[in-house]
Amino acid sequence: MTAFHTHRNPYLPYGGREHAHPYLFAAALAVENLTAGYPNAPKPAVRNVSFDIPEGTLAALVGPNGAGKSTILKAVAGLIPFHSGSINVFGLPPGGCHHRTAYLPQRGEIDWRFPVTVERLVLTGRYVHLGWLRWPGRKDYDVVRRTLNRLGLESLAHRQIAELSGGQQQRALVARALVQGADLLLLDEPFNNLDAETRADLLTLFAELRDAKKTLVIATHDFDRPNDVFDQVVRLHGGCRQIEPVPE
Amino acid sequence: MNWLLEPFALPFMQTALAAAVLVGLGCSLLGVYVVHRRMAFVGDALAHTTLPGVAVAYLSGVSLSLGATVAGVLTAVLIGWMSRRQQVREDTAIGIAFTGMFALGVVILSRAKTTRNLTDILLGNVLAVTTDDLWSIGGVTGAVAFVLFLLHKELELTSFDPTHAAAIGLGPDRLRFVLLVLLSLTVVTAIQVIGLILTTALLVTPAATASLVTQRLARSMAVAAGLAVLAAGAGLLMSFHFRVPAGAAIVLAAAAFFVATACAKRLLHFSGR
Repeated sequence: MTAFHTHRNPYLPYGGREHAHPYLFAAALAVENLTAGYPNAPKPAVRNVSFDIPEGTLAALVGPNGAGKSTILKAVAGLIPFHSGSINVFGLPPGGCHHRTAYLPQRGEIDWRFPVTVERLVLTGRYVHLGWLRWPGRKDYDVVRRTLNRLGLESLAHRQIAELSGGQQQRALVARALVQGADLLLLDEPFNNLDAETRADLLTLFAELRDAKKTLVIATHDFDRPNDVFDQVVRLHGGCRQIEPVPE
Repeated sequence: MNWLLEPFALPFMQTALAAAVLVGLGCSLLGVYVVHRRMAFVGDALAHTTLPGVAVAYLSGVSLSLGATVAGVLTAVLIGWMSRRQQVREDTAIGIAFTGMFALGVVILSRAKTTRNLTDILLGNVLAVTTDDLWSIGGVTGAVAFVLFLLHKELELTSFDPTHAAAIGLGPDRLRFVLLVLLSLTVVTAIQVIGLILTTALLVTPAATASLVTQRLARSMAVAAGLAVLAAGAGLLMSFHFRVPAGAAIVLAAAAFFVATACAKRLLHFSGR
């Protein structure tokens, strides 16, 4: 089997000098005829998927494991190249606006035992604006403190990150996205391994963020009836968009 | 007191102490990343793969540390490149490369008339360190400390969250590559002091001891560096008074610190905390 042809990874500049301004009135996320997958995979994980998500939406990408939810989020974040089609974030291709896009990895992708505190984890949200050889200053720490307060994490600021519960870890990742100043949050399975109560808390937080004009795209398979919970649901199956019946 | 200070009145012991302390500093600072990024095997491999470089340098009369540096940096580049492609699993690739290169080094060295140099390379000979060596060791340690300082936030982030790092354009591969090159340079200096076989100990043991004490990256580095300096001094003293190889004595001292810290931590834990 030969790997399908892919473009190079999008160029993501590190540091604030090359940040582009978004287009006015553009959708937060517009995906058109996207075909994408991991570079070494024999076939693309996602084929010809299209959808638009307007600003200020709490949206879900749902579907069974292997449906291509993560692939779409990673392609939007510029972490993997895409084969064909287009992705526009606030009117710009991936990499054009990546300081306003935050990808929140599955919790399993982070080494929680690494010796950093919650405060430093959240502070890493500022790095995309700082770039090489610039240290975070008082303003950056102020933003971190305010955000930790807002999300009820202030008492945990100086804990090592492994001491947090799953729900708190997810909140810390959201805090980092807010500290970054991201307007589009891509969350990969944030509800994994959380109990019902924590899930509900997290959903309340997500709804608050939506009300504050943030756009959230959440890959999840944890809800039986996602339409009751999310503003918009994109259903995937086997790498294709599944058109759902119009609700009564 | 005399027992502690007298040995270091001798000029060759002063040079040895300076070399051991500098190597200890470089190794322990990098070691914090080696431990937390689980690169101990890579460090060991880098030490072993320097052997053919040293052998060729020895036979052609070039500086041994130059040969070792070339071989070490070459291996770092190779490992970085192989793990990027992921054709073979990384530890497998390293296993193949490091035993193969080491065997090549043994074969080349067997063509030489003497085995004395082989022993020096394998077990180190800190008492043979010259002032010139000291300058190059100091240069490497200084460079390591400088780069770790400049890239602190980037190295920290790519170590625990490579996905976020990639998403903000940081390229975890690039930083891993920087670490590998620093590691190969440090390992070459460590070979002169404690020898090829024991080099991993200076990378891993002080940093692992520090990880028992603190959960902050910068503090870990400070603690590890302090422990490495203590181990260097203690090891040289043991070596001087009991006539044992200095490299092994330094490693033993570092290991003793680890055991003592682990025991102390256990005791504190049981005594009602």
